[in-house]
Amino acid sequence: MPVAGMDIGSLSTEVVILDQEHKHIIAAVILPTGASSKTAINRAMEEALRQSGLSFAQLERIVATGYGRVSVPFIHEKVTEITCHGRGAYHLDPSVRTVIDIGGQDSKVICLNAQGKVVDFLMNEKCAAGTGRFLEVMCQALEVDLNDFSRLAAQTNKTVPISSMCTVFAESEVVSLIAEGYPREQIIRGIIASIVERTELMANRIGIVGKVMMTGGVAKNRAVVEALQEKLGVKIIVPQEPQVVGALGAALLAAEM
Amino acid sequence: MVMDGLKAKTLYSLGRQLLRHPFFYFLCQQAIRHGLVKYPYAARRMLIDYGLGQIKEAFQHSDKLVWSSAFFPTEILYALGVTHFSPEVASAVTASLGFQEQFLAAAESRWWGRDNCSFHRCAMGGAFLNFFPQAKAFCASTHLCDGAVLLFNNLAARYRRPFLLLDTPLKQDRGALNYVIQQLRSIIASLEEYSGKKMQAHRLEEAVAHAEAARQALVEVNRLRREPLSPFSTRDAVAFLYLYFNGLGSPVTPRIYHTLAEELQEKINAAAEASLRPPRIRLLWLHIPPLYRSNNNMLAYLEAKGARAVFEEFSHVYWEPMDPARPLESIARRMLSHFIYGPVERRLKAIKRMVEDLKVDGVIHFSHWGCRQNCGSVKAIRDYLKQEDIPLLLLDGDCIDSRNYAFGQVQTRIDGFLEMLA
Amino acid sequence: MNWETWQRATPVAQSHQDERQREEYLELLEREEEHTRSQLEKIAWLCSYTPVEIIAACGLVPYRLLAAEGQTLRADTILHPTLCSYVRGALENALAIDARTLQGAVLLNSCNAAGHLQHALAALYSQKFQYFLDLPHSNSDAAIYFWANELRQFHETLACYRGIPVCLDALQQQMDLYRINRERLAALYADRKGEVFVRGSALARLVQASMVIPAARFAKVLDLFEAFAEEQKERGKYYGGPRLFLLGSIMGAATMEIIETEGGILVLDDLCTGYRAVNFKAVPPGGAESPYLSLARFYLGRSPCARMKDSFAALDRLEQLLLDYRIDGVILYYLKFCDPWYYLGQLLKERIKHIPVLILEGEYTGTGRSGQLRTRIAAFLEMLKA
Repeated sequence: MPVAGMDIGSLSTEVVILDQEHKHIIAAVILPTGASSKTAINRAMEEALRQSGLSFAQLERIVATGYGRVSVPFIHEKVTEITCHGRGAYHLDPSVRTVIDIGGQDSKVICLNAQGKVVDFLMNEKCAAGTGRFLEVMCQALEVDLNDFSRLAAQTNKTVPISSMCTVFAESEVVSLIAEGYPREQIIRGIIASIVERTELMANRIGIVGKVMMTGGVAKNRAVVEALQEKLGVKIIVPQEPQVVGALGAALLAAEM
Repeated sequence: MVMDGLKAKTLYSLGRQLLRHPFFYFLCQQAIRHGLVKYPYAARRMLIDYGLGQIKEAFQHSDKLVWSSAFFPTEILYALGVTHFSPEVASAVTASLGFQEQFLAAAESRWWGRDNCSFHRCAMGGAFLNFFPQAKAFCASTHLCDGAVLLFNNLAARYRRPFLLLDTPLKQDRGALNYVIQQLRSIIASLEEYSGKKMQAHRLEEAVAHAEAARQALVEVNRLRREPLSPFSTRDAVAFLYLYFNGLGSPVTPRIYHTLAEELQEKINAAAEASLRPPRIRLLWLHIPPLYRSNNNMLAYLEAKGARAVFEEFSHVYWEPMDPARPLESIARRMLSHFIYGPVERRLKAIKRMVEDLKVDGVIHFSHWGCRQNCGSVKAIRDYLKQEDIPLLLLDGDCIDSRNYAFGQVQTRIDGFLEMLA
Repeated sequence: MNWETWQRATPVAQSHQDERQREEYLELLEREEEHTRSQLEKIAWLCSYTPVEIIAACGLVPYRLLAAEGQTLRADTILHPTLCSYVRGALENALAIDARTLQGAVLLNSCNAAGHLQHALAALYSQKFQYFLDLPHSNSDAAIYFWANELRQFHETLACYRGIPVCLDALQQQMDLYRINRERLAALYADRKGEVFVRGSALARLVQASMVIPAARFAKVLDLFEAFAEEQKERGKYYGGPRLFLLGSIMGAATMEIIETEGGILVLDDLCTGYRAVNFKAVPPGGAESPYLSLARFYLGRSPCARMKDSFAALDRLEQLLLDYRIDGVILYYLKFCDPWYYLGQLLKERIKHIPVLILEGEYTGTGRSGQLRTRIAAFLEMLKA
C-alpha cells in the first residue's frame, strides 16, 4: 500500500506519497507553514492526496518529521529531520556520504556510511544565523525577492562583508549598508558569504568526507551552493527538488517499518 | 581557481615558516633600530624592540620555553633564565596586526564556541595552526578569570606537558601568603627540573629589584598622566601593558618606563609653552579596549568628539613596594593584592581612587564579550558609581573578535554620554 | 472522511511510555524537603565543595540553594545576562525562599559566575551570617593544609556565631552520617553497570534531596528508595534503549526529562548534582589526623569539578567508566556561558573517539526553544539505535 512522509518545518511543509511498491513518488507538495502548522499540515495532505488520487484510508503508514512533527494528529511515527534527510539523500544517490541541509531555522551536516546509516551529525548553534530564516529576514531588509537572489549576486564580483553573526545584528548592519549606499548586489554577496561561513564552520568541525549533497530550501539558491562549493573545495550535488528530501526520507522510513 | 588556491596555501605556509623563524624577528629589530619605522615615543620603539627580542628568544630557545598566563609572576621566570611566551598577549598582537579572524576560525572549527573569551580562542587557534613556539611547560595563575586556568590546563593536557598552577587565594591573610610562597617554591623547583638549570639565589633578588624599579617608574609615568596636558591616552598606553604582563623582573622594563616618563614630561612642557588646550572631557577606561584594526575605533571616535580616555585600569599600580631582600614574599604579596581579583569591593575602591587622582569626568566600562569575570561586575560597578555620583557609560564589544561589534550602537551610546557630560 | 475522523481512526504513536507513579519514597522525600524548607534552621550553600558536615555539627541544616526551575525574572535584573542560567536560577531561588528560617549562607569562589552570585547574595543576606570559604584549585599537600585551615576557621566562626563550643565529636558524627549516605547513593549508581531499573532523573532527584534534607532524616528516604529500586529489579522491568553518560554543566530536570521521554537511558553522569556529589574516594575514618585534615583530603581528593587543576587529567580515567557502564553515547552538555565546561569539553570532544558524543547547549530551566533541544536529542538516539 502507498505510504506518506511529511516534513513540517518552521517555514515550509512538505508531503511526499510513494506508490504501492514504494518505488515512485506519486505526489510531492510544498506549502508555506505560515502561522498555523495544523492548517498547513491539513492543506498539504489534502493536496497530496488530490495529486495522487488516493484517499486517506489508502495510506498504509505516515511518518512525520520537522519541528511540527509533534503536532500532527494522524501519523504513525515521528522521526527527526536528521534521519529523514539522511535516508532521502541516500535513496537519491547511494554514493552520498555527507548531507548538508539548510532549512528554515536549522542547518545541519549529516555523515552517512556506505549503508546509508547516520554515523555523525552536527546542527547549528542555537540562533538562526546562516539558516533559511536568516536569508528571509535579509531579503526583507533588502526588499529583494528570494528568487532573484542568485541572479542579482551574479551581477557583480564585489562583496561587502557582513561581519555580524547574529541575525538581528546582521539585519541592522544590512540596513546601514543600504543607507551608506552600497549596491544591493554586493550586499547580497555579503549575505551569501555569511551563510557560507557558518556552514563551513560546521563542515570543518565534523570533517567532510566523500560525495556531498545539499538538501533543504536554501539548496535551490544557486549562488549559495556555488559559494559553498568554492569555499569547501568540493563538488556539491543538488537533487532536482531539494526541499522534499526530508519528506521523501520520512516516506521511505514509513515504507520500511 | 585551483591554482589560486594552491598559491594562497603556499604563501600561507611560507608566511607561517617566516613568522616562526627567529631571524625574521632579528630583521624586524634591525629595521626598528635603524629608524625604518617612526614612533611618536622613543619608549615605544624600545618596547617593540624588547618584544621582538623576546619572541625571537622564544623561537630560538624553545628547549627552555614556558607559556605563562597574563598574571603569572614573571620575576621567577627572569630569575631562572627561562624564556616565556604569553598566549593572551599573542592574541592581542595578532588582532592588532589583523590576523585574528583566521585564528578564531581555526579554533571554532575545532569545537571552541563563540561565547568564551576571544583572547583565549584566538590563542588556541594560533596554537592549532602551529604559529606559536612550543612550550616545555605551561604556567598560569588563577587571576583573574576561570578561563586563563582552563586555557592553560587544556593546552598542557593537549600537548602532554606539565601544568604549573599558582593557586592564589582571594583572602589576603597570613595563611594565604604562606600558601602562595610554598607554591612559588615548588614551581621554581619544577622549572629548574624542566630547564635543567638551578636558580641562583641572587638572581631572584635581582629580578625583584628590577620589578620594584619598574614599579617606581610606572608610578612616575602614572603621575605624569594626571597632568591635564599629558598627551598620553589609553590608545598609546595599551601597547605598554605588555611590560606589566610580560616584563616585571627584566632590567629593560624600568628603562622603558623611565624613558617614557622623560618624554612625557617634555611633551607636557612643550604643550604648556605652546598653550595647547587639554581635552574637553577626561575619561577612565575599565577593562581593555578593542585591539583589532578597525576604521571605527572607539577611542579614536571619542577623541574626534573632544573626549579622551586618559587612563585604563590595568595601568593602575595596586601592589605595595617589593623588597629584594624578601623576594618570594614580595612576589606573593603582589599576587595576593590584585584589585580586580577577589571581592568586587576592592575593584570599586581602586576605581574611586583612580577617578579622584586622575580627575576624570566619567568612566567607560567595556564589557568584553565572553569575559565572565568582567561582565559579571557591571551591576556592582554601576550601583557604586551611581552612589558616588560618577557618570558611567557601559559599552559592549569584544577586544579581539570584531564580529561582536556593531559600531552604530556604540556610536549612539558614546554620543549620548558625551552630550550628558557636556 | 474529514480530519476529525482521521484523528480518531489512527491512534497517535507513542515512542515512549512514561508511567508516573507516586512512589512511597517520593512522598516522604517531598514531605521532608517541605519540612526542611519551612521549619528547620538552616545555612544556605551553593557549591558542592561546601563542608556540610561542619554546618550540621553546629546544629544547623546545610541547605543547598539549587537553582529554581522556570523563569528568573528577578535574578535577571541583578545578574549579568552572560552569566549562566544556573547561577541566575540559584539567585531566583534565594529570592523566593522563606528567609525567616535561614540563618545565613556559606559562599565559595567556585567559578567566576559563582563569585558574582556570591556578591548578589551578600547584599541579599546582609543582615545574616555570611562566611566566605577560599577553595583551592588543586589537591596538592599545600592546598590540603590550606583548605583544612579554612575549614577549622569556619567551624570556629560558626560555633561562635551559634554560641556553642567547637565539638569535634559532633563533627566526626556528622562526617560518618554523611559518608554513609553518600556510600549508599554511590552503590545505587554502581548498580547501573547492569540493566537500569530506576530512571536516571529519579536518582538525580534523590541526590539533590540529600543536599537539602538533614542526613539522619534523609537516611529514611534512602531506605524507601532502596526498597523501591529492589522492587523494580524483582519485577524485572528494566529500561531499554541507548545507554547514555551525561557530562558537563549542571543539567536541569526539564532537560533530563526530554532525554528520557525521547527514549534515552541516563545511566551515569558526572554532575555535582548527581553522581559526582557521591563519588568520593574512600578516606580511612578517624585516626590520629585532625578531622579538618581528613575532611580537606576528602573534598579535594574527590572526582574533580571542571574548575579544578586535575579536571583535565581526569579525562584519562573517563574511558574506563564508559566501558564499565557499557555506555552507547555521551551527552556533553554546556549551560550557555559555562566557561569551565567550554574549555574542558573542547578537549574531551577530541579525546573521545570510539563513542558518539552529542554536544548540547541549553539553559538550566529548559524553557524556550525546547524543540531544538528535542530534535538534537531524538536524532542522536535514532543514530545510536540504527
